[in-house]
Amino acid sequence: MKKIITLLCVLISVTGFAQETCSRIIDKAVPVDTSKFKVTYALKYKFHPDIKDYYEDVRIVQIGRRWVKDYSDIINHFDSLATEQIRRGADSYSNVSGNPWPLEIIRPIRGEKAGLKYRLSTSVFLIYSDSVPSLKWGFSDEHTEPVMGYDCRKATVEFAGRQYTAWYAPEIPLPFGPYKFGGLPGLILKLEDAEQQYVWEAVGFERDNAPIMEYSYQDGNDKRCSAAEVEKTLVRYFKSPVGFMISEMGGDSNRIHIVGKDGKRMNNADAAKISVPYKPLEIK
Amino acid sequence: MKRTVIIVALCLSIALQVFGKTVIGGFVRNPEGRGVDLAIVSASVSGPDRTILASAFTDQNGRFELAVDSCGCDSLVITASGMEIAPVSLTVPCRSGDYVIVAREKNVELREVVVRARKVYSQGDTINYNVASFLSGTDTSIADVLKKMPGISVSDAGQISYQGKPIKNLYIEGLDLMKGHYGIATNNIDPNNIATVQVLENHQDIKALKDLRPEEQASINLRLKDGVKGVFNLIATLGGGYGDRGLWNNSAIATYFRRNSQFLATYKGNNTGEDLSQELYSFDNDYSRTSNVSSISMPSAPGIDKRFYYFNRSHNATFNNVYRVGRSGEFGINAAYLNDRDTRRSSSSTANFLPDGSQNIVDETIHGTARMQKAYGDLTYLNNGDENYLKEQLKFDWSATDADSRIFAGSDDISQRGKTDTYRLLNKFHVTHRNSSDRGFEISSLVNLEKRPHRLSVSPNLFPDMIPGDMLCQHVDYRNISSENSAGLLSALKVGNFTLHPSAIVNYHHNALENRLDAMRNDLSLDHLDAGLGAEIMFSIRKFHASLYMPVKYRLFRLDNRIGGIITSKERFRVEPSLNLTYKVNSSHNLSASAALNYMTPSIETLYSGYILTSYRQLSAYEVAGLYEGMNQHYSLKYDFKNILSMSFAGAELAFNRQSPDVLYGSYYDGIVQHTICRRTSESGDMFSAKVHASQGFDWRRLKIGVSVTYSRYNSPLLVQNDVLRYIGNNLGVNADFSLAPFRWMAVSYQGNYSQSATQPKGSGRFPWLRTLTNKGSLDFTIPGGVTLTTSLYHYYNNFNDGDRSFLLLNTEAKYTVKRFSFTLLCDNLLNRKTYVYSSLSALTESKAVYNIRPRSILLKIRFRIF
Repeated sequence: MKKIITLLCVLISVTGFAQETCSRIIDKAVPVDTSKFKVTYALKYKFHPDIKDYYEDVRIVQIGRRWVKDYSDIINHFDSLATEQIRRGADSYSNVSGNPWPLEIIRPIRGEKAGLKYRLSTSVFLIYSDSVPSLKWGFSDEHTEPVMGYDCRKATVEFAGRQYTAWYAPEIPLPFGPYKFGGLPGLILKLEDAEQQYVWEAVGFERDNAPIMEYSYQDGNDKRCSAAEVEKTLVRYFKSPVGFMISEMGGDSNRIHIVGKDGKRMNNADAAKISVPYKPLEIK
Repeated sequence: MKRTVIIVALCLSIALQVFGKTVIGGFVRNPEGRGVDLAIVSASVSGPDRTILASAFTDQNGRFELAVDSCGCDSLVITASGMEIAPVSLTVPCRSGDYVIVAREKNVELREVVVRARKVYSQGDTINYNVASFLSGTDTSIADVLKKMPGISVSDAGQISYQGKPIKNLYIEGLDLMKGHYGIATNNIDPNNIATVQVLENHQDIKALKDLRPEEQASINLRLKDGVKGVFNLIATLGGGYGDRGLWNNSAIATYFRRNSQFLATYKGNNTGEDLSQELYSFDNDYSRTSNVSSISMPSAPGIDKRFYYFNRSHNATFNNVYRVGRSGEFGINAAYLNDRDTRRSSSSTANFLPDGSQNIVDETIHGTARMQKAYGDLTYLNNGDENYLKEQLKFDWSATDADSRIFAGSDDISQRGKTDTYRLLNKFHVTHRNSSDRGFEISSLVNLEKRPHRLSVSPNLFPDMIPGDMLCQHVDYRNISSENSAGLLSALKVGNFTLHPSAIVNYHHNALENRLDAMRNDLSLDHLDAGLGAEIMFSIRKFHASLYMPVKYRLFRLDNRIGGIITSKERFRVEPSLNLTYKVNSSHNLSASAALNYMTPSIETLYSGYILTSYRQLSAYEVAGLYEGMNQHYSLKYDFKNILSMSFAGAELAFNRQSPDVLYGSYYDGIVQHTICRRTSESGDMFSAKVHASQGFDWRRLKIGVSVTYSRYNSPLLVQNDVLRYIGNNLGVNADFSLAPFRWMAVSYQGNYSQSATQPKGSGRFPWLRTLTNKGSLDFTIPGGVTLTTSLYHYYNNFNDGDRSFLLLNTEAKYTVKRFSFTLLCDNLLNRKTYVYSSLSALTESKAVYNIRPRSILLKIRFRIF
């Protein structure tokens, strides 16, 4: 399997190597809960506030009795297709198209530890747990434009070095939202940080009866690590995505072909000098 | 211990009060006293604004605790809410304390906002269309839904095109159930059973040739909904009504789709104008190698929908089955039978412009009936492995047409009768082997056996000077035996980005034509051998692909005219090169160019020297009976664009064709009779065409807009009355379509075509422009009670028509569905129009005709699911 993924990813555009996400085979899964509600968010994000263009993702937040799971619908879609293709006997499958946020988070309704999975570039899969703090929201009596037809109220919070504004719907008494956010007297329908590096907005909300699945990706590329190690790895990755990939492939730069913005092949050493601006979601 | 805890709690409470915090705790319970889990409890100031100060949610026992910052107010409002309780509020003093909130159980009524699946998305070379995003209540077949998908179009016969080019295969869950006859599937499969339509771009269906030979045509795969797999479906329709006589329209469609086998069987019967022969067409290019040399004259088809002028009585039944055999094999059976009776009536006037500036005008009134039976049976075995491909297909076709008609032409009252039988056996064999180093071989073979006896009798004899007797009776038998074989090596030589595929071909065709017309006879055969070697040189580098095919053929023709005992033969070497270039700029833009040169081959249909009655008023014989060839050149340049995210599809194509025949065939008109003539020539005919097409889908109201513009100009020679004329033709065609569902209860669709054409004999003035316009609009709306009303308006305009140049037809239907029953009441030709006038212009021939059309009728159809 590793060989397949490697072969699929050898041709990488320098404009998109921060976003080259591999599909994974999701045939090993355990249902951990049953989702009672499903919220769909459109996520606009970028790796640094100075970057002009946003990447886009469709995020699903499943709310069960014991667990809340937040994942990319786009990645899940391509994982499902790849699994089906392999099941039917195909020997290769396509990568995820688009630029989804490659983070999956599953957290208990009560509890302070969440399980996270970050799908980094071509092959590495970072698995770690992280704290879910109790947020001290500041409430405003300001009513805002409705989201999906629901009247919303505004609340603000400081979290991990960023100032966030949330719009929540008191009509939907569910104290949840995307990522680690929650604890408001209504479902968070819109959320953004002060620099608008991450902007979530709900586009769907429905009752649900689907299992909340926890997938196991057992192909030898999973790395269990701490949250601090993940952050260090991401910093190293964005400093030189090409250099990172070459080192991930055992330093064999011949296995990677880099294509520049002009469509021409680049020298790998030159490409390794290119960095991508990066500011983490959780700054401190 | 207990005392210690109380003291600590008391101290903590005092400390919080001192630091400006009020701690309000307690339980949220239901009336039975059970704690409510996950209820939200918030504290807000009392007053109209109710600014929230703090919020928390309860634990499994219903316990909550709120720490409220000092607000300087006397009281607070504590509100408990949850998904399973009615909101309840308490006003409490603004100081720490414990409270029990009793909440009534009540499920919150949510306004759910369901996110629809993306309408179109791509995965590599596969474009996925979500069927639910295009489906409306009046759609009865998958063809109805495909028409609304941007980039896809469907012909009346069910042929699907993607980006203007017909698809190669239609798969259902990866299996080729229908083989070439997929019109049956597109016109009959219930769209509610299909989850996704997948367009497989550049799909090489032979796995052993994957990444070795590019494929230009797309294929389509229909992904079924999970609930449909393994379930036997039988849907029947019964219909009865009245027009100028009793009407019936019945059908039954059975489907059974499993992972390892698929089944589709249909029966249809009607006398309401639905053409059942169309969906039996084969789209796999297995063309017939014989044709009718003589035929009965029937009214030609006017340019309106066939359902309006088709006075029919038709039945068809089809059976289609495919089984998976092993891991990569499948075995398929396809069979069909059609029984059709068609009655037509028309009055026409045909004017042929002659070199001296005069016209030869023929006025005809024809009333005819054609009875046709047709059947086919195909057996196919396919093994499509990664390294080995084997396809063996045996096809049998049979058709019998028996027609008679009566014609009033000038002062003549003519009756004619014609009968044609066609028998055909076709065997196709194809094997490909590829080894791991991309080396291997490919062999294909085709054997075709065909026999077409046909008869034509005409009374009275319009050629008494040439053939004695009052009546003409003719029998023609046309036979063909063909064998087409090729063998080649896959990438025999690979140097850098170049690969070489050598191949050898041996094709043999034997055609025989016999006829007897009174004392006149023809008995001849034509043998044609093509044997040669070819090489395909391919060059691929990243986005660019080039392929040059250079076959060198030894070509032998041998004509045996048994009546005169004359044998003529001709042999020569021919090179027929073809070049294809493609440049895939990126996933959105694609450029391609092609050039080809080939030679026309003599046909036995233009080699007989004894007279054959080709129609009741045309006698043909070829005086220049030589084995002449001609040359064709074709050049094209093509651009394709697609953007899946914005659902935009577009393309442009420029093409140039030059035909340089050795012999020119034409007509000599003498009153109503016509003689076929021919002459050697050095003239050539040129045609230039340009086409632009665009299709755009929108998320807004399911809107789809499609437009195509075609322009063609030709400059060709024409043999008339023993003179060679050149004429120039210009055609402009504009097609437009859109579909829109502005509301859930309303849908609109439109198809329009504008055509403008004119011809001009060289050295003379241009004939007037013929302008035709066709508008078809349909409006569906659902009224309260669930009844869907559909009104379809057909408008035809023709500026050559005398009098009223516009023609309107109106159909309406009402549909009501209850459980598994669907009732449809149709009223066709509501305006009760009786005749349609149609004018046309082709080369230097202009014709006007008046056709009888079907009268106003009413029909009730009941469609129900038996299983």
